[in-house]
Amino acid sequence: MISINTAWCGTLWQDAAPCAICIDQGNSMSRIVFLEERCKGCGLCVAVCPAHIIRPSGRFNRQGYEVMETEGRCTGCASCALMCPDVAIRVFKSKKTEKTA
Amino acid sequence: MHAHELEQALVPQDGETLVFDTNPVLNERVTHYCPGCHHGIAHRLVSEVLHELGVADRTILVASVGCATFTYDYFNVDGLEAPHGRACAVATGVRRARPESVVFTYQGDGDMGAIGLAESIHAANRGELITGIFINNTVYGMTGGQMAPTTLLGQKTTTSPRGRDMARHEGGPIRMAELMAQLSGVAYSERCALDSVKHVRAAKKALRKAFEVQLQGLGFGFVELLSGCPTNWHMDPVSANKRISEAMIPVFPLGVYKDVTAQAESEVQHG
Amino acid sequence: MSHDRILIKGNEAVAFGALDAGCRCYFGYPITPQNEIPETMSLRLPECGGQFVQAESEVAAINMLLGAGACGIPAMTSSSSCGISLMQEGISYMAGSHIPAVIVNMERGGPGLGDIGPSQGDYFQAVKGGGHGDHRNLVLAPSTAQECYDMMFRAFALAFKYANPVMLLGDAIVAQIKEPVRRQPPADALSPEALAELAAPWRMEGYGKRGPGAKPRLLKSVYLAEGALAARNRLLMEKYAAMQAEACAECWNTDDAELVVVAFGSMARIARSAIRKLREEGLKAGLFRPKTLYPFPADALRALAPGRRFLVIEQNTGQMVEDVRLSLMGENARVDWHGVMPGLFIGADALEDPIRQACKEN
Repeated sequence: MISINTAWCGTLWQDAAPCAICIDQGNSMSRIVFLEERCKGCGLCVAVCPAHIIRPSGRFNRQGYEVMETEGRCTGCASCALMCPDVAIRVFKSKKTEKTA
Repeated sequence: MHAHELEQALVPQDGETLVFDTNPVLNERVTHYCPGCHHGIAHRLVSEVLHELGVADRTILVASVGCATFTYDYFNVDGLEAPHGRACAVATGVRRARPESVVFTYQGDGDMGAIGLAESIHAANRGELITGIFINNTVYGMTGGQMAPTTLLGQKTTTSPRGRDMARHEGGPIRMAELMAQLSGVAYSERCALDSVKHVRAAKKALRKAFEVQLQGLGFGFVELLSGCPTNWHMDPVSANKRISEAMIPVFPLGVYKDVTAQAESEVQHG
Repeated sequence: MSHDRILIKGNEAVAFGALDAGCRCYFGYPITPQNEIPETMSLRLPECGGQFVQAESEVAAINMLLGAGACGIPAMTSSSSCGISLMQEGISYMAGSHIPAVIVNMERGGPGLGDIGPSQGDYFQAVKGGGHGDHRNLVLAPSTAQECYDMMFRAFALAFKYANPVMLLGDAIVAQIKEPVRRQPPADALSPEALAELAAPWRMEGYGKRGPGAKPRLLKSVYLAEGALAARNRLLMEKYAAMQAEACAECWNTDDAELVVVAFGSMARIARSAIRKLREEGLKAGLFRPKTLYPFPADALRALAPGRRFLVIEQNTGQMVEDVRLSLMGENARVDWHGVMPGLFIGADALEDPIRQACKEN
């Protein structure tokens, strides 16, 4: 049974079913973490992500900005983090992704 | 995400490396800059360079007047206010008084290119061991979008409502990187942009170089960073970002305009 | 329904007043809280054949103004506090060379970069001659958007009548407040032609304009020959003595007042509201509002002195109160002072207690 650690998974799941990515990679893939209270919803990360996995989440932080979320396979390239003016993204690269990248 | 979930998420799992993080020179305060403003990227790059060079503890930042008046709130280094345009003169005073320090100014279009042009040119010409960082976004941001020395021809601003026009003696965009490169005391002058990952990476290299020439005692280090101002351009952040590549880079070409270290190298090769 | 008034900011009223008074050149630099002045001028001046220049700095702007003023053309600049500090050298030069200029200062909190709230901390700089040497600016103090419009006519008329810098001293509240303004030149406004006539004897224009045999002219402030500078300074003294006739003030509810509040600009209007409230309580307070700060309306103030006490209210740490005390020297009148700190936005309620207190003290 593949479990998802919903605390770190880049895709925010409402239910407990793992997505194809977790099943594929056995819970081992690169990921980004959004420090949501820093986000200003500018969308530059969405624009630069080469895998197109970042999108607006429909949720708003305390500053009133719409924060981003990911859906899909992150390669750990950190393009999003490099472009984020608010240093709101942290990137964790997994060895497995590095091997297959 | 709740605070405790976030804390958990930030712990590297098995087989993971944290490949992008903040650094201790950048203050963790959320900035007052608008969404999509490139000041945030520029600040981060400068903080990374200072951190990697290991000089933050002897660095003195001389801030300017504009949106970047509050730059000193975001760097964990000693920070000094300067009157509008005078940062390079103030920085000269700081550097002469404390030769052991690392000094940089962080200035916008008006501060360095208009009211501060004389002070900036002369500090550069004297070869003051200072790094001058010039944020070019073609408008006066803090005061609500007036024309800047770098405003493009045809660009409408609140004081060029018909579009900047040479025929009306409104002048044309001033190219600071080229201007600086003409001056004897300038050791390094490069223009970069912050509109893409590739350009952001190149900007960091340029900033590092501009600090290195100071540390090596070679002269004034200058980096111009093409940036956006979504609010005063009346654009969303992503469109503003595009304007940099589409409209600004053709007018302000990227590149190294002076590098005394490269000259020295080529002299060694050919001499 | 009559549409004879427009709802505009004090800044815009300044710009429209200048345009309607015949101003044909504007030189300035962006600074909060007066940016609507250059912005309005950039749009409107070219429409009436005028020249707008966004200068590279306030230093450049004041020198551009010196050049245009030297030509006898109605011209102006505007700035705020720190920018006005940069202009002091140019103002001193214009005073020394007898060149007319209209300079608008929409004050902000200081000293230094301060903040962008209202303040009256530039009073000394404005009325004592903030540049080097013995010089004075004629200083007008609007407290409403309508006065911002009306006083611009007065400013140009006085600048040309005396060939001297004239300053319109407002603040962030007066600059940003949006009020109905009647855009109609005051009855005593001087036409652009009349202004030009006043400049004819000394303006830069090329001697060819002055007919055959006309000699070239020189406008300068440097006088090195023995006694020459002394003579120039005596000329200025005579001019400033003549200027005293332009002193102007509003007396409101002072006839039966036991306590007279002395205030100008935005502080005066806030004090007026407070006094209205206190009058309902039966307290006999009134308002003396200088409309010229230089020349200070000392005669009018002295006329009020017998049997009255004074409370100076200003948004600084104590400036106009000195001129009030100087004016009332020998009158045996009690002068108290209440200061509002620079940068603060206060309501009338904040002034009720200080005024009430001053009313009750003996």
